Amino acid sequence: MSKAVIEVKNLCKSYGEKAVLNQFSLSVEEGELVVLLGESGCGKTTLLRILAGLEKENSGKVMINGRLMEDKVSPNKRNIAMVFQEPALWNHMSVGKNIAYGMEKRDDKKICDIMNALGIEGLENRYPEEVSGGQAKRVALARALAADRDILFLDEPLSNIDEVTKKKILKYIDENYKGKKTILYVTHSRTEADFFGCRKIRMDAGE
Amino acid sequence: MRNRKDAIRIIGFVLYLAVVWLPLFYVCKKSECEITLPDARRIGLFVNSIKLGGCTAILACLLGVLAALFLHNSFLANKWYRYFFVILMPVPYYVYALSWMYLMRLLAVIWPEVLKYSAQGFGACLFVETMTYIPIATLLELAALEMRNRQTEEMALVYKSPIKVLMKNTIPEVLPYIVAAAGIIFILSVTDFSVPSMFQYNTYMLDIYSVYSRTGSVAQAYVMALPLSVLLLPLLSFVQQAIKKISKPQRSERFVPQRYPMWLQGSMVCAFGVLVCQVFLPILIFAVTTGSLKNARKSFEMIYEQIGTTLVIALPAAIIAVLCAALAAGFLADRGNGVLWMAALGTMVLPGALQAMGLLDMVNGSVVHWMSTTVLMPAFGCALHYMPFALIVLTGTIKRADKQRRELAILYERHWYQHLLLELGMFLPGILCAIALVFFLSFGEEGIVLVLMPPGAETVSVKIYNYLHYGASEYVSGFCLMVTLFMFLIEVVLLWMMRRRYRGRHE
Repeated sequence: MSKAVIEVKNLCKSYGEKAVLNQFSLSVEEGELVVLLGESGCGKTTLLRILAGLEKENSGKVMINGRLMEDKVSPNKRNIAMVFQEPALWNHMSVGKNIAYGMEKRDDKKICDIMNALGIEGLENRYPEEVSGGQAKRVALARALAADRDILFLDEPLSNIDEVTKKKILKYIDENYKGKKTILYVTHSRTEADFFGCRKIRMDAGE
Repeated sequence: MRNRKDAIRIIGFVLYLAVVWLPLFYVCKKSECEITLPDARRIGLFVNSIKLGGCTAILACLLGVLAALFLHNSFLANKWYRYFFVILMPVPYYVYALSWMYLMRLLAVIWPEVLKYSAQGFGACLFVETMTYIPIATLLELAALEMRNRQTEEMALVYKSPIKVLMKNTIPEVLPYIVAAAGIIFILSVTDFSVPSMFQYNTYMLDIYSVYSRTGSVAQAYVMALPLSVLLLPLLSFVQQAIKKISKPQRSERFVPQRYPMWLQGSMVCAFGVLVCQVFLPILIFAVTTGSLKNARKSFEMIYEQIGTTLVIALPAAIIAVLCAALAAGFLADRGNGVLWMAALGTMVLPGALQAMGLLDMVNGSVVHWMSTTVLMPAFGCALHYMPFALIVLTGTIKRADKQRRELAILYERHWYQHLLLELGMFLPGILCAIALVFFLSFGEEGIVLVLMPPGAETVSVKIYNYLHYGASEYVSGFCLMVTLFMFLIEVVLLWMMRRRYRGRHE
């Protein structure tokens, strides 16, 4: 039996009067890819942010690799890589430097391989403001994949990308990361959700 | 249509340049001046100015960065009243200098040993100027931190420790603004003569005024200011670089504060403590040195008329400056390059009083000479000197506006005035900020007002200046207290009115 890498129990989070997560529980096993679906504002992004330590829950428990994630466990110590809905690239760094940011030691071959796979080869020396919206999104995904962390949180990683490239990238993730990394994949797209043939969780008003 | 709009913008920019540079050209064309090589004494004074300006800029920016980080990353982040702590920025610096002089005197009563540490010379000037300019540095750096896309910081936190994120991401991203703040503080410090004269520290600026008093030649004074201008102009390029990098703010409203190492958190708390002292100590000192409620009431009775006169000068100055700056802002935001920026901001490095002398000469020799005996004159003088400051704010506002929204406004435009109204609405916060900035700077202006004030009228700064030399010190304290409280009141009302706009959604 595989061990649970991510365990969430009775998680609650609200902003003022509005409850975003209400007694939410989830368990994800090692190497599992779970797709999170749901309407806008149902708490998918908030869940990922709490798991990453970027936001504090009101109540409930979060465990990663069997360790209780208290406040003092800073985001960089949770062994995760992440893609936000927006690319969030650092404008003062080149694309290559952005991708290498999360690596222990810069590995140019690996960067090159990932960039080729995502169709952004040749952009290493450009700056974020010199690439298109879709390319920026793929650079953000490349950064998460290059970091080689055990857990990947992908929050709508392929929005803004054309269908052909999207399929190519989904295939690349399926072949190279599914089963090897624990992945939480947030999407609105039915095509993306069905592609991996994995467990899907529909979130409804934070439950 | 597009060409017509471009033509209007170019004409606006040329008009702005004409307004800010005309007095200088007029005076230089009219008067004769003699160019002499500087002697050892003058070079020494020049070095003194650079030393004071440089040290002040570095110290104020260092403390400003730490205080801004504290405000950005503590329980105060996203609270509308976070800007309260930079509230003393508009209080005239000589008023501020006085409060610290009085503090030394008060301390001497309790602890006479303190008199050993002379409140004069370089050290005293550096202390007072640093304290005076900390709010400017904090304000600019806090604004820079808030303008960044906070999600990029959060993304970095996923991979690196908070201190590494600070060094590798945050500081490099806000560096242009830190350098711009240092540049502005350096310019303000080097062109100021009031604090060095109060603390008897000889600087180049004091020498320029003494030469003017001796020769009566404005052109000669301008020529003397030339080396300073040449030195300060490259600094303006940093200001321009910072404005170029301004982007639309994308805050993450639910940001969790970072945990920096203890030594850094301690330094941030200390810098914030200095900022808090900077706000409250002067008020406390003035309240104590005023002596009694009776003195405070008497001070108010003696100065309320001058507050009225100062308002009559500062308000038109702010409106004129913003109107003229608005002529150039659109053009600069879209097409501004290094040379155009230098031309637009170049007069910032000229001492205000010199510009005022030029303006007076020009007006006296023209058909509108009647104006020189009205309060319009100091209003124009202040507007002329502070126009580049308004221009920086307005251009920054236009650059920060969402380009797509502006493009949509053009797409749906039916009448030119409909578009104008829409843009005015989009830029209103920036316009109000520019008006407030010029208003506060003009309110505390001393040099320009001394040159241009018509006979019989007096502003608060001139009144304080006169009483400082010939009056009782408790009244000087009382006046300073009234001015500080008046500024305080205006700012609190302004901050409260804008609280909705400047607080986080999830506060």
